[in-house]
Amino acid sequence: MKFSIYVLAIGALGFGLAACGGGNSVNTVPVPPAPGKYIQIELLSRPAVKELFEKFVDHQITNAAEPYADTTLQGEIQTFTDALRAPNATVGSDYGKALAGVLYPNWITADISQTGGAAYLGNETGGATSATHSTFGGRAVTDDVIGISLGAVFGGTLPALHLQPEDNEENNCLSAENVAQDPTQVPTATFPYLHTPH
Amino acid sequence: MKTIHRVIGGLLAVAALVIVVIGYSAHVARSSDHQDTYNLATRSNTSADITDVYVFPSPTNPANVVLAMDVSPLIPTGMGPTKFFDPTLMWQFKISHGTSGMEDQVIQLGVTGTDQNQVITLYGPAKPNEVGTTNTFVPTSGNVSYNTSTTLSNGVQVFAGPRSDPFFFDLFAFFSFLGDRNFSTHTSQGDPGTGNTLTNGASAGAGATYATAGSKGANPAMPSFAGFAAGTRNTSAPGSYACRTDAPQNALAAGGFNVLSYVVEVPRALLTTGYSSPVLHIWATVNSSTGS
Repeated sequence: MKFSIYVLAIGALGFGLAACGGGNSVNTVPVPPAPGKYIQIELLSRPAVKELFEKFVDHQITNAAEPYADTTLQGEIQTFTDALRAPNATVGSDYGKALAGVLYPNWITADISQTGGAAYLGNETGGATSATHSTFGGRAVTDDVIGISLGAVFGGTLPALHLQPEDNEENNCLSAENVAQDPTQVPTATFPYLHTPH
Repeated sequence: MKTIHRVIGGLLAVAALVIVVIGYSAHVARSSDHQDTYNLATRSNTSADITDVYVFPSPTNPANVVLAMDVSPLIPTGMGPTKFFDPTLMWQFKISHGTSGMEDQVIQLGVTGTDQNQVITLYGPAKPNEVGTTNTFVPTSGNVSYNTSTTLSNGVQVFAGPRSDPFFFDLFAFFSFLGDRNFSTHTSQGDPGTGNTLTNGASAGAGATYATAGSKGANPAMPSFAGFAAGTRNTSAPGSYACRTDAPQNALAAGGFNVLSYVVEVPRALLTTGYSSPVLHIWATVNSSTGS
């Protein structure tokens, strides 16, 4: 149970560089909806999941799907990761399967009965991503979501959390991006909390 | 007239973008979930393109939570107040409580008008009229004006207008080794492009061997972010390569880019009363009345 929770947590980290195959590329001709009806053309939840794992041409598939009915994204998370860190039977690792298990369904989880602060993947990881061990989850404006994601896909986050055995396939040059939030991007103390425009 | 306005607005925006971008970089920041598909990136009004979603407790009222959705990537410095929401669209926060597995509550936003006099209407929070990807508006909770914070009668506070883009990421380094994710490498919605394979991706892990061992300089195609201390290598294994030491770029901040933001601060009770779980699974969508 603990394992599954952690695996879920890491999935949300969503970063991958895919060399994946898979994916049903589409180029559909939109059909105008009936009056008063609106058809979904864009979807976003966990940051960078589409961008990292899914081929650009397949983003349109995820954008037109429900986050719980998107086998294209689910499959590409695994294939993309497998190309970087192939399942290793000797050590018993399968990072692609683990990440796909965490990142799908593709939604942000927040337990709003919790009084602690937001932290990306904080709910799924039992507070592991929160400096205060908050399990609120969600996503704070200041969260380093890219850093978390890179650590999961290219770094040693999964073995550190005992979610996967060490496979010795980390890449130091890709497991961090060395960028911090700029003062003009830091949220404000009052509503609407996002900094005034440049 | 509306078309002319959009075209002119689009040209002005593009011109300003080019000027600003040239000012700080030779590249246009085409990023991550910004410019998410060819069609979204090339719409005359890019407010269908979601860049980020945030969910956090209210910093000012512990009884509330905040949901924020940023759209319209890459608005140049000084042009935030000149960009508006597309009145043909529906923006939604969709919520699945606990183990329901599908959306059982929605918060929707719609817009009337095309300029600084835009009126934004909040619908819900309410149970959705439909589950799935074709939707209709639920009952309204009230209106707010563009770029103005307003608290509605149900206690929901709403803002809709330009803000600084808070997302930080070295996009240029990312695109240097995964060019497929750069919108400009595609020529149509169906163009698969050619850069989907992470350069040397299959060999990027520890223990990999390379045709030419040594530094990044000797192996310019080796994937690396920037800003590493000299001597940092991708692994400690023989044949590993040195990581980039040039300065990283926080591209969106360096470019002074803005977004259009929807921010709704909602009493927690409105999101839990009538539902079996306080655990919310949240995603944002944009729906179009034209289907494209």
